[in-house]
Amino acid sequence: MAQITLDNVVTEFPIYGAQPSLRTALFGHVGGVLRRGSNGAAKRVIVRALDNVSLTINHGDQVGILGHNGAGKSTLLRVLAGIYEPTQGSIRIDGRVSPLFSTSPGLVTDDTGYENVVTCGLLLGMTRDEIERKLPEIEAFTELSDYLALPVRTYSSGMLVRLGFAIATAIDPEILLLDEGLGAGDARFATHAANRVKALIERSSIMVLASHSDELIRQMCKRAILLDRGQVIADGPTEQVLEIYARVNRGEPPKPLPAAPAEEREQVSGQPAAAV
Amino acid sequence: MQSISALNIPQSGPTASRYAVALFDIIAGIQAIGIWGRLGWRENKRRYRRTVFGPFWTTVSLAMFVIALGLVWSNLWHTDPKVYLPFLTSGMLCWALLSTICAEGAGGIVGNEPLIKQLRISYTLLACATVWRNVIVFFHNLSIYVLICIYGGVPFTWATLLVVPGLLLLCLNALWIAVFLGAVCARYRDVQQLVGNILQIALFLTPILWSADQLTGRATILADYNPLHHLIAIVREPMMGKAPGTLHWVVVLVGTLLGWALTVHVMGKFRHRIVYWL
Repeated sequence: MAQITLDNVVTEFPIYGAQPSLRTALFGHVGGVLRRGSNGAAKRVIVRALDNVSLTINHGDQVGILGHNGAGKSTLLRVLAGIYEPTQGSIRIDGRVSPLFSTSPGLVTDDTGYENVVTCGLLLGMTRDEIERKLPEIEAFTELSDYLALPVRTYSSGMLVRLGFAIATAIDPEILLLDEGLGAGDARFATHAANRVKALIERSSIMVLASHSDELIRQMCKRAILLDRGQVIADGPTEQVLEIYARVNRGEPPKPLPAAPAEEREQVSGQPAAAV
Repeated sequence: MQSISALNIPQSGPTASRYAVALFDIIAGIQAIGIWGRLGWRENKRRYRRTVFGPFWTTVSLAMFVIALGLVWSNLWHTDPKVYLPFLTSGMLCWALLSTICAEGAGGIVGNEPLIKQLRISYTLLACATVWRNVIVFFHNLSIYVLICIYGGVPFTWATLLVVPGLLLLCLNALWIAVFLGAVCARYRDVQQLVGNILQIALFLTPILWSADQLTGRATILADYNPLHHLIAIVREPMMGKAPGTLHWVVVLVGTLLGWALTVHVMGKFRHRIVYWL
């Protein structure tokens, strides 16, 4: 059974470039005087992207992550993918994770469509046989026919999206992590794509989707998590969390949630917050 | 399902220590031949796309360098070009292999940032792709060496077969250097520039263009205490039909063990931080 558990996860990013590099490290170790002299520079600039996040995602869950720009959505997805290991706290991932953050990891514009199908497919964890087996389906979905034998740099941006999308959505994921922006293209392709994502989600045991879009989350997810400045401020059934999100967007304070353990936080009451 | 593990490195935690994860990264990375084989191969194809000679362009430029330098220097030093040219070419072939892997390995993690931020991919796998790409170039370059061997009358002996273990050991060392430098350069971007500088100087300080026997007095440390000299000798000497001396093998074997120990240590301590440095 697939499951993900986060316990008080904190991620902090040291910001380099805002501080000197090798020189400081070297001279910092050389002697006390220099170190004291560059005291201000030696101080680290740190951004805390996730702040004490605890949650459990169970087999069969389809979870949407909501929040403003910089709320920590993408960071949370990358923590779930195991890309960022928590600076503090712990995470336990049972099951194989398939992150789809951009449509095509490893896509090379100088290679042909077919070549990219194989390379990207391998990087997404498919075997050669699997790729061979799925090739007709990918060919059909992209509707690129002969263009697949041409270098990808000759494609229009819409064609490129279709190719990347077709490859990425061909996988059989256990834990599927989706970042918004997967898909796009023209209107006809959008419905086409939505169906394919739906099928992909149905094949997976856990799906986590990060998005700004209320509509997308409402369609795809039964449960939603609202992030604000790296903290989980609501976690529960999608409709209720969306209400809280709307309230936050209107500038009202979010429903005051009691500092409850993760299990209890599931039950978000639908009552409106006390007017301020 | 080996390919999957190299793309899904486990997390460190109560069940797996950071060193276990580092070892997993290295072993699963090396095992994923299907992936790094393709990445390295494609990279070569890409670089020489739409050229007539393809990867042979490196061979052509190497050939011009070696022949020009070989003829002038053999004249300057009053040596027979039939002796000097095979010596120079074999040395340059090995040096090109080793130094390009070092230089590309140093930028390996920084250069693969998009991939690393999307997949929990083995860093060793990426280094393997770099090593493999350069091994392919090495085999292309070998064609010029064969011609020079015919010209110089280099004998093909049983010792020539030692090229196989020699090349394997060279690659095994190039691999840890690539992983190690990749990690260090992700944190300290200056090191990448430094590596380029050092490689440039090392070509002249290592017995590649000149022979180790020509050194006298204290200058012999340039050969004896130079790990690069021993690393190159175990491939170059078999290429010239000679069995490399025991000292070369011993130094390289000890160096391989120490280098990998260092790499496992650095990866164990910092692997989980590397992505934060990008």
